Amino acid sequence: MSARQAALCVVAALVVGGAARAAPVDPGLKARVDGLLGSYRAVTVAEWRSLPAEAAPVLEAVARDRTALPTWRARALAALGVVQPAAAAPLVRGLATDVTAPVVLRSAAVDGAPGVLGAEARGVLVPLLRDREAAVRLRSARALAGSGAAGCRAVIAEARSRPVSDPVARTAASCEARLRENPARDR
Amino acid sequence: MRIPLSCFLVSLAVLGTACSGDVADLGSATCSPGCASGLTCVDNADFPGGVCTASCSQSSGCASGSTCVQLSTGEYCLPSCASGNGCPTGLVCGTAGSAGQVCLAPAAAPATAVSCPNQPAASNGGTIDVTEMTGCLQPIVQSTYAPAPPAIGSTLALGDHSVGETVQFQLPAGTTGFTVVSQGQSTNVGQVHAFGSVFPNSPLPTPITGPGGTFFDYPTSFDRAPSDRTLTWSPISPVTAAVTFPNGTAGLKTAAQGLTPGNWSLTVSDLLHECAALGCGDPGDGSTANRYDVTVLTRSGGIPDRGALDLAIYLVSGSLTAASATNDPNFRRMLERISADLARAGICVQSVTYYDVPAWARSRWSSVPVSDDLAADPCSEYRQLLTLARPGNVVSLFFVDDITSPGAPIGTRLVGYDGAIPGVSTFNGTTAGGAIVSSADLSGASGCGNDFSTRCGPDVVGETAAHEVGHALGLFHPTEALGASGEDFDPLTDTPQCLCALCVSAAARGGCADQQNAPAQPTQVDGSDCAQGTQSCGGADYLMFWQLTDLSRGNLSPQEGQVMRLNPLVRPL
Repeated sequence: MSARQAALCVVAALVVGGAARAAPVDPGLKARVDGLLGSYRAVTVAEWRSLPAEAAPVLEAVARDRTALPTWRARALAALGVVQPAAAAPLVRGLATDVTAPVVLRSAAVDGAPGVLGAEARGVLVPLLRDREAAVRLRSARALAGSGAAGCRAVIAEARSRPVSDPVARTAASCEARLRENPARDR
Repeated sequence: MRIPLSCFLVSLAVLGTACSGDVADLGSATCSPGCASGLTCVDNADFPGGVCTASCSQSSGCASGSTCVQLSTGEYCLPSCASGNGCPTGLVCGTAGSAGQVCLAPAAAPATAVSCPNQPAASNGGTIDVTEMTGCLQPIVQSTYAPAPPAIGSTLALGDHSVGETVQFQLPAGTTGFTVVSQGQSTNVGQVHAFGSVFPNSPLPTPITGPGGTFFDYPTSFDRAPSDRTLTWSPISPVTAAVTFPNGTAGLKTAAQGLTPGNWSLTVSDLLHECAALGCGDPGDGSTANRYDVTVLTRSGGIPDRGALDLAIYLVSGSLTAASATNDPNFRRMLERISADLARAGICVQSVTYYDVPAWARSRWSSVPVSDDLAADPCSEYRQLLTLARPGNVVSLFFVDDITSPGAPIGTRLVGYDGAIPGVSTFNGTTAGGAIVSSADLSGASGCGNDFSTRCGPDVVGETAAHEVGHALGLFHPTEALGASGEDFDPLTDTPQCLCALCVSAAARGGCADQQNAPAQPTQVDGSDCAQGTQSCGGADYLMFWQLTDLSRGNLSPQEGQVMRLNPLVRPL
C-alpha cells in the first residue's frame, strides 16, 4: 500500500467512523425537541427530563449552530444542561467566553455555569466580571453571588474598581448585605 | 343494478344517501338540506359548520363500516376509511388514534387576510418622560377610550366598590359588546393559594345581569362547553384585569343580534371571592375585603368586517433606539410580519410609534425575569415594567434584550409574555397592560427567505409580537401542550384542535393526559402532530398555537378575527 493509499484509507476510516458515530436522528424526536424549543411558555425541567437520552445530540447541535437564532440556542443549551450536563459543560465554557457569540447566548451560558461546571465555574466567571458587555458582567456577578460566599467575595473585590452604577457594583452591594447577615455561610 | 355492499352500508347505516352506478356514492355529510333518518346535524368544535352524524358510546357501537370515536365534544360514529379518500363530501380521511383511519371534519379554513392600503407608518416618539420609580406601583388610571367619529361606544365609570357590591349600568340600544375593567386598590390581596398552586387574584364581574335575566355567572358557566358559554374567563392578571364580551362562539352569535338595551348590573368579584364556591383552600376564600375601581366600555355598530389598530413599541434595550428602529430593515421586516398576521384577523395596523425609555428604566428592565409566579405578583419586575406605558388607544409592546425564566432550566430565554388576556385596553399604565417581547433575535436575518422560518429573526420577533397582540385583544391558545381536548378551554369552535389521543403516534398515545394511568409527565402534542389537516389534529399553522415552529403560518380563524375586532382598541374601518 502506497503512502497515498494509506492516507486515503485513513480519511475513509475517519469518514466512516464519523458517520457511524453520528447516528441518524429520529424525525419524531427531532420534531419534539424543535417543538419544545419553540414553546411560548417556559419548558420545565421535568419536561426536558422526560426526553430520551437521544435528545442530547439534537440539543447540542442546535446550541452549536451559529445559524440558529440566539434565544433558540440559549434554550437548547439550558435544556442540554438538564438532559446531559456533561455534554453541556464544554459548550457552557466556550460560549460564556466567546466574545463573538450573541450576548443573550453568552448570558445564558453564564447563568448555567454554576450548575453545569460546579466548582470550576468560578474560574470561568470571575474574569467575566470585566467583560466589555454589561449584560455578561451582570449575569456573571449574579451567578457568582448565587454560588456562595466565595463567589460573593470575588464580586465584592471586583466591584472596588467599578463605578457604583456598574452591574457588578450593584450585585456586590447585595452580597455585602448577605455576608453581614450570615458571615459563616459558604457553599 | 347491483348495489355495492360497502356503498349500501355506508349510505344506509351512516349517511343514508343514495348510491348509483357501480361506484360507491358516499354521499354528503353536510347538513344541507338536512340529515338522513337517525343522524343529526352536529355543529360544534369537532364539526364547525355542521356535519350529519350520530352520537354513540363504546357500549352502544356504530353500524358496520363506521367506528365510535371520542372527539372533544363527545363520541361520534364516523365512517372508516382506508386512505386519503373514500369519505363522504364534507369529511376527509384522517388518523384517529386507536380507531385507525376514519372520516373526520377537515380543519376549518382560516380567515382570508384583508387587503390593507399601506404598510404601517413607523415614527419615533422620542424618550418617554418618567421619573425613576421606587417601590411597587399599582396605578389606577382613566380610560382613553375616545368615542370620536365614528362613534363606537361610551365609557361608563362606575366608581370604587367592594367585592360583593352590585352596580347598575345602562346599555344603550345598538350595543354589540362591552368590556368591564376592574382596577384593584394597592391594598388588595394579589395572590390566591389554590389547589397547591399560586394564582393571580384576578378581578371579574360576576354575575352580570341584563334586562332578560342572568347574562353571565362564573362558576355555573362551567356546566357548559367553553364555546357555549357567554364569556370565558381565566385568572391571569392580579389586582387589575378586563373581561370583554364577546370572546367565544356563543357570545359572537349573541353580539351579532345586539344586546338588549336597558338596565344591566354586575357584581364586583375576584378569584379569592369565587374561591368560596370553588373550594380553593386559601384562608381568604370568599373574602369581600378587596375594592375595585370599575369601568364599563360599550361597543356598538355590530361586528365590523375590518378594523384598524395602532401599536406602541417601547425599546427597553441597551442597543436599540427609536431613531434607528424607524428605518432599520429588520424592524421593517418584523412590522411586515405583524401586519400580515393581523390582516388575517381583518385588522390593518395603521401606525407604530417607537419610544425610548430613560436610562434608569433600561438599566432596570433590559433583562426581565418572568414566570407564572412572577406574573401573579403585581410588584414583580415584569408587571412594574408594564406601568411605563403612556396613555393612548394602542397595544403597548415592551421590547427587552432578554427574558429570563426563573424556575425553568437555568439559562432558559423566552421570546415573549403577555400582560393579561385580554389586556386592559385603553387603560395603559396599569400592571396588566401590554406585553413584553424579546428583541434578542431581531438581528438574526441570515435565515430570512420568502417563507416564514424559525431561523429568520425578524420573522420570529414579528410572529411573537403578533401572538402577544392576539392575547391582548382577547385570544387564548386553541391548543396547549397536553392537547387533551379543544373543548377544555377553547371558547371558539372554528379553531382546529389537536387531541392527543387521536394525533400522536401509537407509541406515545398511552401517555396522553386523558388516557387511563397517564404518566406524571404526559405526552405533549407538537407541531407535526397538529398538522394533519383535520379539525381534530390541526392548528400548528395558527398564530395562537402553543409553539412557534416552521409550520407556523400566522393563521387566524374567522371567529378569532371577530373577537379581536370587537376589542376596544380596534376601530372599525
